[in-house]
Amino acid sequence: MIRLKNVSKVYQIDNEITFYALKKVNLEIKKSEFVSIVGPSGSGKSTLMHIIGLLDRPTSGQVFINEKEVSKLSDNEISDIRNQTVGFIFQQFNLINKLTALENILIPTIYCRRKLNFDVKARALDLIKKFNIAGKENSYPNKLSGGQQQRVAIARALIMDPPVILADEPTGNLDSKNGEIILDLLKKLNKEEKRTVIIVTHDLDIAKKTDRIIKIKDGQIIGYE
Amino acid sequence: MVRLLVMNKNYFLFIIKNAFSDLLKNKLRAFLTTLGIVIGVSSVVLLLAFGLGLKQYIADQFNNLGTNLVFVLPGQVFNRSGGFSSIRSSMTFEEKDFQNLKKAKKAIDVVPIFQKTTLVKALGKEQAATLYGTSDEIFAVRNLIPKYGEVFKKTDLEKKSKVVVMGPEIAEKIFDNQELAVNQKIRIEDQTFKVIGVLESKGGGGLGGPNLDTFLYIPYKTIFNITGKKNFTTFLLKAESEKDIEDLKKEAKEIMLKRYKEDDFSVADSKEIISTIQSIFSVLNMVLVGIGAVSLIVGGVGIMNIMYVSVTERTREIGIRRALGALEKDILFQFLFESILLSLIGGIIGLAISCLIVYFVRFFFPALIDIKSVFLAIFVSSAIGIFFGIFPARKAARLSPIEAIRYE
Ligand SMILES: Nc1ncnc2c1ncn2[C@@H]1O[C@H](COP(=O)(O)OP(=O)(O)OP(=O)(O)O)[C@@H](O)[C@H]1O
Ligand SMILES: [Mg+2]
Repeated sequence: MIRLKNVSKVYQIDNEITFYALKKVNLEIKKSEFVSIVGPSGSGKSTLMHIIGLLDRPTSGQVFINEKEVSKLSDNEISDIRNQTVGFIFQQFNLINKLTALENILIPTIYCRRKLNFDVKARALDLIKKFNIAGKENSYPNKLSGGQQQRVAIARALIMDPPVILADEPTGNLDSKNGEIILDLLKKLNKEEKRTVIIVTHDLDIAKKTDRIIKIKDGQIIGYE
Repeated sequence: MVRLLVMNKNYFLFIIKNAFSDLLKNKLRAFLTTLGIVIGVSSVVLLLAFGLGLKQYIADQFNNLGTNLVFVLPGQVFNRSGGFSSIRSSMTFEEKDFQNLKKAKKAIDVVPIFQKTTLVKALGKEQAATLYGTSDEIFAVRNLIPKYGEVFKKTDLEKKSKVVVMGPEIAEKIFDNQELAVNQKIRIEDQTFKVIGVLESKGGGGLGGPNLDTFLYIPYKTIFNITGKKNFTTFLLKAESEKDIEDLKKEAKEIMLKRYKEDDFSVADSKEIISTIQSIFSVLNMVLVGIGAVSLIVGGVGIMNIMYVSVTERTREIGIRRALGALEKDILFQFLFESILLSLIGGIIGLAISCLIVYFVRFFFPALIDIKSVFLAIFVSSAIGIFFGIFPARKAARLSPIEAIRYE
């Protein structure tokens, strides 16, 4: 499903020091896998996630999604994949504050260029109900708790029914109880809906609930568990 | 792969709703930003309104003095650049020209005029005035109607009667009272004339047209009898209808060319004279409109400035939208639409203010807002929104998604 070949991400600092956020990473994630990426702060987890989610481009190396090389696609084509194939969930929720919960969930549908075969609003309300935030659809994000905000963000990631869900420290800003709810949700998405779910975390307890753990340090994969 | 910007119906609705809510969130800022456009558009529209009103006023004044008229004048009336010639010809026409012009088939009336500045004496007062030696047809052709008394007739012309019809302004000046002027005696060119009528006011003058209210109308044969000279300074030819004007001009020109060189006389119609006067005012008006346009540019720069601020403030939002599948084009369009909206709202407010001002000014001055000004205001303000909005919008569109989303 997702394959990275010799992917490096290099940052040039002050024109002198070249810093490898990722160094020749090779990685394969199969369809419907439930994977976690763990590693210390600054090890390159988010960078890796952004490259998998096509938010960022590697400095060198190739990224394949369904055996199609995506690292060379145009911005428009990549935007389409972001829109329909990948659902991204962030640590900071990244909801747009001036839009209501429902409007936030509907953003991806606005930018979808093919005809949708479902009623977007009905689907959004379904997700809201499913995630236990019914009644909050017209609330603005700053009136929601962190856990509720993250559930809105997950609903938004799911609105286009993407086969892949990427979650970068989805529980990082939540207490343990809310964190557990979110993690159960993600697990369901994998087990019941057969989506490929990749989560980044530095919490090993969370990582242990996934099928496979990818350990990363200093921009390199140091092992699997 | 070519992709359409819009393939679902919610897209436009979303863009419009977004732009409005973003502007409403910052009402004061939006208002201040748009103020430059409001001032720019209203000054341009108002100046156009005054210019247009003035043009209309000039045309009305001329039409009030008879329509479908062709003038035969000595010398060159128009210069090469389309204005009035500053050189006055001292040449005059003769009785024979009058007789020849009368043969013009398209002329339903030919009125000869001998114009002269003279001194008028009455009640011990002396007053400079313009003398109009002409035929009785002048009154019909120029729409001149007696207010008191009557105008002179063909018989007065033939009998070389010493009668005078006065414009209301000159009558007022000499006799202090227009009604009392009738039947009074006045001295013109050392002869005693009887005032037989005072005309209705025609207004006008001052804007390039003649002020007929200050003229003294006397049968031309009477003048010729007194001065011994038989000269005319102008012929007034009336065509049956507007479509005959060109033919009549051609005819008059051919007739005059038999006795004069091309440069010695001019044949013009009132339209030409009106448009020449109007074009003089148009130049002045365009200069003023140009000055008004400067404030539009200042307003546009204000919009550009605030849009740059907005792009920076909303960097994270841009990143989120890009992460969720928005194209560069979508972001560009979102910001462009907002700047157009901002500018257009300014334009519409400016237009509304201008309409209000014109509504009140019309009591004193013939200002006029026509549909062209309305379209111009809307077009110009949209164009400014596009022109000054495109740079910030492009900056927004070209932000890298990942850097934008990490922006704090
Ligand atoms: N734009 C950038 N310019 C320079 N260095 C960067 C940039 N983005 C990331 N880095 C560096 O790359 C490294 C990896 O960053 P990344 O965000 O992937 O770490 P992480 O594993 O997600 O850490 P954390 O657990 O704290 O989120 C870090 O050392 C970071 O400083
Ligand atoms: Mg991180």
